Amino acid sequence: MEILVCVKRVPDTAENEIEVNSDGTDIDRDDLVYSVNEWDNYAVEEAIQIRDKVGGTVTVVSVGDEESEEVIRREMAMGADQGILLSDDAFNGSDGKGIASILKAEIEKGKYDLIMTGAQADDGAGQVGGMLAAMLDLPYASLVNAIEIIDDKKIKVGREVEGGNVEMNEIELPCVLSIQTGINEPRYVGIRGIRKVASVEIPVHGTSNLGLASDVVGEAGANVKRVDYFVPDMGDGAEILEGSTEEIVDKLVELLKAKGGIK
Amino acid sequence: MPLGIEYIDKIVDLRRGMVDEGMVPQSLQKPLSAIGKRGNPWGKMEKKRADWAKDKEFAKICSVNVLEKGATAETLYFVDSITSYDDRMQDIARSTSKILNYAGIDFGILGKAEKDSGNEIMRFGEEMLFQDMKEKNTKAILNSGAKLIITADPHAFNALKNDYQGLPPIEHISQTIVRKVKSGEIRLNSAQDNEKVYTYHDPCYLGRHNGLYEDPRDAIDAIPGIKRIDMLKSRDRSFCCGGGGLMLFYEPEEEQRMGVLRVEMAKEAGATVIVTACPFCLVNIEDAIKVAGLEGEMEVLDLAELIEQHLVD
Repeated sequence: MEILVCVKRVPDTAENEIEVNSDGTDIDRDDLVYSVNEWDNYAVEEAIQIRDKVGGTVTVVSVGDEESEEVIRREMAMGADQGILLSDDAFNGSDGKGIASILKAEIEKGKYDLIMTGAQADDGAGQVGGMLAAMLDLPYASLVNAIEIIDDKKIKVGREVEGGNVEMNEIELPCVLSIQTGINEPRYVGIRGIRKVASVEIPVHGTSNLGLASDVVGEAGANVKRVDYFVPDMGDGAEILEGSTEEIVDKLVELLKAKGGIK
Repeated sequence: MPLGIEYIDKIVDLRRGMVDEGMVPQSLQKPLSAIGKRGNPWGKMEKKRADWAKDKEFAKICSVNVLEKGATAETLYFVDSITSYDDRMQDIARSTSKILNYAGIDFGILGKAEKDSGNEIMRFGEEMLFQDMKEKNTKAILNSGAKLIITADPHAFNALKNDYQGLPPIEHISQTIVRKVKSGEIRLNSAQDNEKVYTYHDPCYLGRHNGLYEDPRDAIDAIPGIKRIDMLKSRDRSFCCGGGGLMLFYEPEEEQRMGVLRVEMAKEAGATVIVTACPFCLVNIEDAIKVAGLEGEMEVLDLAELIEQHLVD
């Protein structure tokens, strides 16, 4: 099975201090550390496990700048067979549709059975996977947390629904899936593993290789434009109810009734 | 009976193989990659590593020299990650600094140039990441011009002393205290509370791994009138608190927590205060006292905190 996984280099959100920069156009990126988007990493692990079971290759692709190369290389150290960087100044300022167009152009150069994206990115809008499927006119399943290979024409995918249940669907290949975290336990990538792939070539494709018109990508092609960037005002903190358990329960019932939570 | 068979190096070798295969428990993957990116297992920002020294009350009475931009000092206080970033453990850093200041030692800290000492990283089998930390720390330490390194963290002590090369001599704070008490530069008040019975818990990386049993005890005994006893399992027969350094991130499933057993041993020996000389022991035993339901009956504090409390004005 020929599998392609789209990955993105994102800032670590957990311990980074996120502040809006002085001219309000972006976050301050000076002190940030970056890594592969967590959802994408789960997708790559899943792709590698599928390939190890049924054969084929795993290709990792990223739309970014030269710094994105380190993320592609890490996924190759993890076990992906090849990596491609899609980079061009003309891509800057692309909206979700622009990113999907760029990926589509690369995907159409090959013949892939399964295309995976992460369900969302730390700093994204959870839209590229769906848009990509629509542009490629392929079936799409989102928030996938389980994959079963039936044969080279069909697979089963699972999605978590209410009550912790899993909804299983059959989907025909080729198709696009967006992958949810927790689908597997990604293997560790050590520094030694990364050094082993340090000199493997990662081709860079731009607008000319991909045959993209410049009005389809970048700021020029963006239908969505950022108007403002700000940190929301802090609201009041939570109200902590005090008293004995009965008193707290009574107060809580009163509040719920008053705010229309219960009749 | 298989006494005398060294197994630690074999386990580390097995782990090295597993790391290469990607077989590292999920709970340890984040701390390891955080150390690679930020030099500490929580992934907190490097520039905040010396923030413990900026505490308002503390900074008024004790200034800590952060060696940046080519600054040098005779002695380096190597703080390491947990003491630098954990809210409770930062108290140890402050107590240690006060003791060094009091004893007239000209010392500095590396601040954001300090990376995790890597004691656990090496033992988890991530050799290349350990080498990375070792290289960066060695460079920073040599740049500081220090002729002596002092640390209050036995894990850092173990790594710097045994796994690093080309460094100036390293001392644990208990050795510093004993030295300065003998020379008269540290003078201690008598024990205040006659009811308290103290017992010293030997940290694994100070005691059994490095043979340092007497200096911490001598440091405690230097407090006039203090009541100190030893647990049955002490010195080279000691019982691990169960912390294991960065293994604290691992969260194993266990029926009986080692820390709880240890706290019960202290109680059985007749102690009301456990003194330890390792930040990981401190956090693990503090937690174990709560789990064992012994709050109010048993206390724990770090050696540096105990000594600092008794410094003569």
